[in-house]
Amino acid sequence: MSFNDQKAFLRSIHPFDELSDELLDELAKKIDIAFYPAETSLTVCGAEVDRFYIVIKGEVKVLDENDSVVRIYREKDSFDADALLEGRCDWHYVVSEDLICYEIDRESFMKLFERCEKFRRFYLMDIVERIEHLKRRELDSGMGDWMTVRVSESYWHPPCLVKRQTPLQEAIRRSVDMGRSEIIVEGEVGEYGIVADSDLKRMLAEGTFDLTLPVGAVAHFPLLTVDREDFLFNAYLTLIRKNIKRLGVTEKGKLLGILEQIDILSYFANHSHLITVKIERARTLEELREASLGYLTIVRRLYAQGLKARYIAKLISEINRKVFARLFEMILPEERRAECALLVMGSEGRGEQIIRTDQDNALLIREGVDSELFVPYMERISDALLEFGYPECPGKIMVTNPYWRRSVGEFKAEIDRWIDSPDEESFMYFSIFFDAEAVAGDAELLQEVKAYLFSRFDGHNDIYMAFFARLTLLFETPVGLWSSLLHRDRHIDIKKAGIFPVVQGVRSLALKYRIEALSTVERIKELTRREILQESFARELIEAFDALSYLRLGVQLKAIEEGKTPDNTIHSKDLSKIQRDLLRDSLEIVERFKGFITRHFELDRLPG
Amino acid sequence: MIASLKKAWQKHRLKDPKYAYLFEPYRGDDVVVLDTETTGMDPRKDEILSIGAVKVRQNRILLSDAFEAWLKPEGRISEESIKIHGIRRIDIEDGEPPERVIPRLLDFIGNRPIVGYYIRFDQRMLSAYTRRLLGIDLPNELIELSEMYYRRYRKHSPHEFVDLKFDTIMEALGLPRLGKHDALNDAVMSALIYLKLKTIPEYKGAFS
Repeated sequence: MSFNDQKAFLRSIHPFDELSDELLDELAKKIDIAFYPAETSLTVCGAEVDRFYIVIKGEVKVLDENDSVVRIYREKDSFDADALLEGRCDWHYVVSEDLICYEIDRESFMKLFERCEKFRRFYLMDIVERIEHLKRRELDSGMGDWMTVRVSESYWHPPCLVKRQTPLQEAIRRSVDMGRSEIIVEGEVGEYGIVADSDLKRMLAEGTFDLTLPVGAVAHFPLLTVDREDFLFNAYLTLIRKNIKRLGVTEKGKLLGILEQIDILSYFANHSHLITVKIERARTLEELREASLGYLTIVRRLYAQGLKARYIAKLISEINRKVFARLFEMILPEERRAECALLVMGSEGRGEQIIRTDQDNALLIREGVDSELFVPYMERISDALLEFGYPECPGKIMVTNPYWRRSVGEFKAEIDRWIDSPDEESFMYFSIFFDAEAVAGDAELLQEVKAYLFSRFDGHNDIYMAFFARLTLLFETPVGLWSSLLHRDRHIDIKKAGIFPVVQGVRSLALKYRIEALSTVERIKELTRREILQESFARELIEAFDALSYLRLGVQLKAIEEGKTPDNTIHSKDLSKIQRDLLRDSLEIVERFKGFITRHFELDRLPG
Repeated sequence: MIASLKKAWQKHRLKDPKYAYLFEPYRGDDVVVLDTETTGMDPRKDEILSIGAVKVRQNRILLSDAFEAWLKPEGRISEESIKIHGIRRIDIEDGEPPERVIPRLLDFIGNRPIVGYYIRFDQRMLSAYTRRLLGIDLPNELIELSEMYYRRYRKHSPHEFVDLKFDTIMEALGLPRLGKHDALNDAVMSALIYLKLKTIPEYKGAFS
């Protein structure tokens, strides 16, 4: 390969793209190409080895001491910096498909280290930072955050619209009535003028103020406008460039409202504010529905801004909780509200449901109150939620199902049954209920039942806990294999492979150590405080969980955009190189976590 | 027998004793993979435009120590070769005279075997220059890739036609095309073919 071809190839690989042209030139002169047929064992570390490999074509499997595959390297992957830097090498490398690769000698590799800060940092960073780093690059390569928000998605004021001939006094009175600080004057067809409060002040100061003048005589023409489909960012730029405070918002030339600079700024500063205000102010189910559907816009924007999935989830679950609470208030008569608690469970309970995939909810009723009383209200709540875009739970874990509408005592009895005769269904019910949170009504009812649940594990039931923990291993995590999905269109269920094992493993630990926090991240943090998880591993686990959730959110949003039902399937062809690395690293951490759970609960000793 | 006689005769004609080592038997395990680009197919009147060569040691193509040179042709470049190589007169204005390039090439190759695709053609082209400069043909052992490939090809009938086109071989062996078409890139491709073929046993089946 000629010199320039090599440079181009190297430049397409991170972190080699960080190298200066001069360093890249030097490097390209130092590179050899090697060919290793399938089955070759590569010596990657040890005294005699001093090479860094970059895959041009082919596949290398990395095996651990038990010969299980830890990871797979394919086109444009490189290895093994750690082995070169530390001489550490616990694994062995076997060529699984004829390998054509570049080889860089240690000396040249170290030179890059010394001379390029970014290059050095990339390899020295531990895995958490590396994931972060990849995420940031992902962002840089995409369109930036709020640049893509349209005017139509923001908030503007209705205009105080008057005719040209209207006397100034009359026009001012109307603007005061509407609480506006500007008057919009209708001119010729499609033309508007503006009189701002500051104009009035100036006229007063100059002595030209005359209340009898027609407003058209003092207005500025034309009012600058922006189409509702234009980018909000462009509107902002216009305001800055023209040094003005307001713009008209138009649709096909017709004035819809006035957009103020302050609106744009507050919009960018706190985009979620608007929706929560709308939810709290909603008077009808229809208003509440409209307000609640706005969540998707927020999710899209936050996702595009690269906000961590756990923060997006937090924000969205706060919004959802407000919707539930408001719905509860609107539908249940006041005297009923204190007699029960509306529970959200499963992912919604943990505050991890970003895209509405199902409604897992239940009603917990005070002892002695007739549960039949709640039936019609629960039907209405469930119907409304359906309207709001929460699909029905396929397992009917909903307030409309009498099974999930019980008194405190009945729930306690059910918990006994789940624990004492465990089967697939009761494990699932137990898990879902374990993550329950009361979003409306009397939250103490749930506290009582939860306290009972934990008391069932006082010093016994280790076997139940172990079986519960074993669900962590229910689905395979395709470690390493991931890279082999590069060229073919392969897919992976990211929930089963990555998210569920973390949720279930952490939930098992939360049960064992009586941790009341509900979200997976909060539970991990609490486990770390109690020194059950090591801090560095906990950090990695949180970042991996976050990365997996973020990737899942990406495919879900894409599915919604394409009018499909969002699911958990990730297709390799849709992933960038950076995302693939992110996924690979995260799944590796999940696999290590599974190992931790296996040892912690001594799962090897369980029968069958 | 004939080969060694020929070699002795050649050695006898060598003008410059400095190059006597070319006739020494090679004891290492390197090969040199080589490709040339020429103005045409006739060694008697066509000229070499560029030479690319790499050493192959064990599994490795030593690209960091590659040979690449452009020669300044004395005659005209035919329309046809312009089409094939995409090289125009203006591109080889900076070419070097053969008396500078050829000794450097010989130093690079030494007495190593030379591997290539239709390598006898390259050898004849190069020998036209070595004869003029040193009085000898290029004496190195030659390894022909199309022949290596043919010997490993699994025929399904005794009459099966084996396509020996360069690109067909690359494809059949699952090798990627790296970089554009030039002498050095083609030498690297040939080296990959060589390394891959070495891992496949010769076919001794019914129709070999």
